[in-house]
Amino acid sequence: MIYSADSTDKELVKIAKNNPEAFELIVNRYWHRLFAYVRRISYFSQEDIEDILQEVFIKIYRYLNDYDDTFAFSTWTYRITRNYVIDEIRKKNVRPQTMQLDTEELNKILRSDLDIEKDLVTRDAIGALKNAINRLPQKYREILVLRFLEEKEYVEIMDIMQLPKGTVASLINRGKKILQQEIKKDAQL
Amino acid sequence: MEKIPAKNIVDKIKNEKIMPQSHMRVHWKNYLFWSAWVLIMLFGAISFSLLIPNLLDVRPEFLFRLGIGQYVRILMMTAPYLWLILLVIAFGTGYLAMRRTRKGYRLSIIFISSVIVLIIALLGTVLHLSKFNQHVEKRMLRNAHFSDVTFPAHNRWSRPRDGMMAGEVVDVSTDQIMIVNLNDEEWIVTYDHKTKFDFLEELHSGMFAEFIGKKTGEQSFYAEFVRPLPSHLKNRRTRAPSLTVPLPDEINENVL
Repeated sequence: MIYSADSTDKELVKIAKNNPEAFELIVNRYWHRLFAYVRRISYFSQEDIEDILQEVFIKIYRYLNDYDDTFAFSTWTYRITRNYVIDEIRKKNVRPQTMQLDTEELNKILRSDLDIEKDLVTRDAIGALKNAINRLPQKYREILVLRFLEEKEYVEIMDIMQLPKGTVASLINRGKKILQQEIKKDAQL
Repeated sequence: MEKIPAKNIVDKIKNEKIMPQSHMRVHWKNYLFWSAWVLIMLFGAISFSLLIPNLLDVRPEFLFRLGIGQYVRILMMTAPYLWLILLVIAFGTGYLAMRRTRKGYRLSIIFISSVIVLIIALLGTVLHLSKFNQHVEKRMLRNAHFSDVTFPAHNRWSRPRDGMMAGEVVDVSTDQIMIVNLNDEEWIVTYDHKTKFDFLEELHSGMFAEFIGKKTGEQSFYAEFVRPLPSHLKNRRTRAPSLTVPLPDEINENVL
């Protein structure tokens, strides 16, 4: 079967089952996105993330027959990546460290519909936001990353986190409130 | 930007001869959860079908007679708890099994709960209409261990102190009915013009009836309602079957 850089994810998946070479295109297509995602939801170093992603892609290949094409392929890869990262966090018992979000990403959160820009009256708005995000519990940080940095739709978040829509909506809502409260607390200090 | 090790990954796949796992191996958990769910629904439906006679046994006229509080109290007091507990277990485990299926997480609690209730109720009603529940009851009644815990509905009609009693009519006079109740005790049931009878034919000895009223003394009862005892309760005894007293006619037949 012929494939090229223009082939869709679903076509590549079908071909890759018999021809691992086609899988190289999938890896190239998703490496940077998944790298940024793992960096945003975890505290792993760049080297650790690279190792994790290599294992994640091997896992994706091994489970290609599990892929249900009623989902977007990207959603499925995010789900596998998330589950693997959570397992790694548990295994390595990584203690919370400083978040690896860069200034551009923090600005993106500021400009998002989180509606926190007006609360940041201090000069170090980015610093305050970074501190607030660092204090967020993992589940809220994770869901806010998916919603406001990865810009995923509710349905995609549902499928990545394997949660019903109501739970996703309430986690986002609660996460936003906690973030706003943390920022207000910092502003008052 | 970091270099993408796509080539390394593909080389590893080829060198280690990694293959995508077969459909069956990948989906076995999902098949397992669906199978468990189907079995649990069936189990819940059987429990529900065994509850139906008990629910039907407490009829609307009793509700008016006893008032809702007393009605619910008697229903709860005599409810077949084994089936109720099994029904609740079926509901809980059915919910978890459905949630663990491939796309179960997409469904809301309300949707899953409604589907489970609907399936259990519909399938349970079908089992009741096909008399499957009676077959199960009979089989379980044969087992002494089960009979104590599975048929407390019968006890409802052995509670003269709570105003409910049933038994076989032995003799009928102008103001009294003599019965042998379901515990094989002889009782005198009095009645008057206020007593409501719900029989198509005149009450006579050999008939089974249920009485609602009040206990007036030792082995005596005043009836406000008298109606036929459902056939499925006629042959039950709260005590061991050996306590059944043979009627004089039966003794004579045996002697002859």
